[in-house]
Amino acid sequence: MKRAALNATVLITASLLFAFLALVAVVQDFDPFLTTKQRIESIESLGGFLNSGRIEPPLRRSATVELLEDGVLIGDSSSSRDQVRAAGYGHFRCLRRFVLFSSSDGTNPLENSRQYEIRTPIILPGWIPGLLVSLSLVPILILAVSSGRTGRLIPFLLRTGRVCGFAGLFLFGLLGTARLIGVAVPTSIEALFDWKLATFTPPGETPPNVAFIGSSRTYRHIVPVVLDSIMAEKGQETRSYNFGVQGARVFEMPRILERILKADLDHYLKWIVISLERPGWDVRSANLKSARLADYHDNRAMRRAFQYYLTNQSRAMGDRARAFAKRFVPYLRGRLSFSRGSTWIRARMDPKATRYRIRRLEGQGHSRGFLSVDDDMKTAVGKSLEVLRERHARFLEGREGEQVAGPNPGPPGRTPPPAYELFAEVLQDLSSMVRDHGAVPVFLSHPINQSREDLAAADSTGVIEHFIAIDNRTDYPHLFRAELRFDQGHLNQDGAIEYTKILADRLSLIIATEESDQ
Amino acid sequence: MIFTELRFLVFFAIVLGVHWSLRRNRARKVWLLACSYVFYGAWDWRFLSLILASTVVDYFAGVRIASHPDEPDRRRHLLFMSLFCNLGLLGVFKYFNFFVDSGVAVLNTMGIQADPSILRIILPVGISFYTFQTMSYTIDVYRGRLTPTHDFLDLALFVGFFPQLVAGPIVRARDFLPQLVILRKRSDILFRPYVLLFLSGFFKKACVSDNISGIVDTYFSNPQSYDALSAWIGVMLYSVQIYCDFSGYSDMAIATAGFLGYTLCDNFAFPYFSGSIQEFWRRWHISLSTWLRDYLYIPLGGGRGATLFRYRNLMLTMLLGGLWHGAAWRFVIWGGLHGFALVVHREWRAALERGARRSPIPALLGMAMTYYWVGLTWIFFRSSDWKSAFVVAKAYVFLDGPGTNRLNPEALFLVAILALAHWVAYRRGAIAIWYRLPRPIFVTGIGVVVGVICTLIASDVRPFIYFQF
Repeated sequence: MKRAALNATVLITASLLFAFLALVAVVQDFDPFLTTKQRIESIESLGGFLNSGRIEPPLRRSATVELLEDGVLIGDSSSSRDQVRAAGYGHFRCLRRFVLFSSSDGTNPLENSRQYEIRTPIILPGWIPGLLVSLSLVPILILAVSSGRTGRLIPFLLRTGRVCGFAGLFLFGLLGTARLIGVAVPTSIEALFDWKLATFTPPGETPPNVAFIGSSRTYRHIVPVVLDSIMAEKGQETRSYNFGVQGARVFEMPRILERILKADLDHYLKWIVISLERPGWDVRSANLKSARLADYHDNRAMRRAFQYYLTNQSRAMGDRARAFAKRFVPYLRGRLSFSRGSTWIRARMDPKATRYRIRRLEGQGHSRGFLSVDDDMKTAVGKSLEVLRERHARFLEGREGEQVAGPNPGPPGRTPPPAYELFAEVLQDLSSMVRDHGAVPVFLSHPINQSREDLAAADSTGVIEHFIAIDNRTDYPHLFRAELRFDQGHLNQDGAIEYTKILADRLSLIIATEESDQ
Repeated sequence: MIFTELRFLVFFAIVLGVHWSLRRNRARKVWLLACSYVFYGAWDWRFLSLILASTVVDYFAGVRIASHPDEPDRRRHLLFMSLFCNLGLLGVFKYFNFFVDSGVAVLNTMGIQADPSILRIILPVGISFYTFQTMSYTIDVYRGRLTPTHDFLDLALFVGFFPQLVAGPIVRARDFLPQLVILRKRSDILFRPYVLLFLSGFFKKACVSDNISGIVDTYFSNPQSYDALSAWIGVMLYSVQIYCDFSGYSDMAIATAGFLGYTLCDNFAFPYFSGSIQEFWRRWHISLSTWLRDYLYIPLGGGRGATLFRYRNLMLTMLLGGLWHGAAWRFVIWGGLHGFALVVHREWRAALERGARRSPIPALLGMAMTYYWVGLTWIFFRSSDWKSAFVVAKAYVFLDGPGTNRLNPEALFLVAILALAHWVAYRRGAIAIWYRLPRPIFVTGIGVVVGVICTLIASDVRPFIYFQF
């Protein structure tokens, strides 16, 4: 009896220990508290207070990096290259392979005999928490089946294994089928994006060297033909392509960017302009069945969403749990290709169906990926047309005088809130992906009638080197005039041309600066 | 709560789990009755009172009829009392508005203005089904074909058993009540066929019927603007829709009951492969057609007596069968057209028998003719008004469509695929092959089927068509 109690105690302790370690591993993944230090090697002075040093091995995540000088924490990680060069005093900026930094007192790190290190969180392999959870279950399992009936252990394990095996086979069949059908029948948004990918390098022509990615704002606002002609007038040769697709927000963009870079086999792309919008997390009920949500909620986006909901202390736990559950629905729908075949069949049968219209028209009316919302409305039918008309009508009703209604972008000088760490992390990922491809990332904002505080915060992350903000009503009042707009969030054809002209001016300056640096 | 909704699947998982964990038969029955009432109450708990009233009346009627075997008058009075109550419920809740509207229309045609200040009554879900079940119970007791149950719980569960409560199959008490006496073990149940049946029904309803319904609605909402080909497409799609909708529901109902250890009767047997209209009615909504045969057609005289008398019985049965489907004249016409076809078919068969000849019509042509006629009758079943019905019928029969719009002919391709799949199942017994598969392949196959269902499921869940009856 005593021996049994002892065994049980040992097993339960072991289980609790593994469970605790699993918890530690999970927390470490989302809110790291175990860190490691790396010495900064090969320091070089780059003028002013700016120094650079190599990081070996390269970092996987650099948004939470801290700079230590002789073991003491210094600096502000969210600094731009110019800030580091001009301000010094520990400002630094960390990229994956190297760090741009300054000493705490403005002295030259090559001469001040101090040791510089960066402190980064320890990143555990993804399977560690799973393994620890499994290990924590094993003692319980042994305890459950062996107490007085050890002879049943093997049959029990076999039975359990069989049930697990069947469950695995079932899931294999289910997910495999869903995946196959998902590949064979893309959603309407995927179809549009596939079409853009297929046409962005026309045979016999030089492939584009500028790509614009982003949501419907990018899709409807940037006219590549206009941009290229203005750039040519300025003596800069660009061939641009608009990859904008509806609903692509910053958290979904790595996936889109990945596909574009993969398609650019010969690395022609030199400038990748990424549109920024507010980092929205919560899914509106009205959008739960939207195909775009199913498209964009891949594992990476869901991991970030989970991380956000787990760590964002500013919201009540219940609220966060509900929000995550709501976001999980479109994710699950996406994984299961839910209703995808149904939508396709109904669209084929119904003459008024508008989904897949883009596929049928094979990009009719598009010009290098661009299609103005006015032109879209001319060819739209059925529900799509109704939605466009309704939004346009609502905009016309809601406008105040000549100006567009809606919240003001905010008075100049307002202190922006700190950027979400995750937001900065995504921007870092995007930048790194573009840099690794040999291109230059440029971030862009659009004139929409929403508060731009979050975007201003994005600008302060230090990740963004080139940011073209064309979103301020004070600086660009004409872009907010009703005659240039289609609705609250989108410019019309004339507005798009006007916007593109401003964008071309700003982009040409960046290109000139970057080329002169080289 | 609809069988294809997630909340039903959750509800059923709980019902099933608790049901099989209970060891006593009575506890299981109490649990199932409670769940059945919750299921029905999810629509409108107020109408539970009608089910209870019907159950109470027939319980006492059954017991009293059986306790007076030598008093025919008293037995007859008790039977009439039961029929009066059940038909009264049906009359008030289903046909009241219809009769008042019809009366007003007649008066108006006679030039008498009548004010149709009608009490607008909501139609309780499934009332036609459970009143027919309770009526069959009392009639069977009266006829001496069934010993009445003295356990109120058994009768209440027979009437309210949730798998078949709202849209059948119309179960006979003599088939169901004996099952309630037996305590079943989980190992007695072959789950595999029921899994397949449930998935098959789910697929028919959520993946076929619900996907087709949009295009059918588009056509029937404005048939004037479509051409003749569209009329054919619309009618064919509707024939597929209603079959998949109703037989899908029946399959799921039978499977749901099966998981719980109870057997319900079949309701469909590939009706569109019928070689004649008579065969069609042996394969379509079997539980209703047999009910009408046993409790209406045969008591009216059935196939006995003079020719005209027999045909009168047939027509009356089909007209009332049509009216059972809905309180509208178009359903009566639907029944009438079927009755007419049955009469013609009987005449034709009688003529062949008199000449000792075989039918000159090949089997395939017979199927096509039957399908064509059934399609014509569906027009009246589906159309929202007379004018639309005649427009569609004209386009369907004379190939003369009034409009120029056309539904996508690719829809016919879809119908062809479905017909082929149906044919394979009909000829080969495709589902039976699944029974014999090794378990790992079976489980993987079920995963594949669920995967296909997930991708083809319509995003908007629609109620079953027969719920309105």
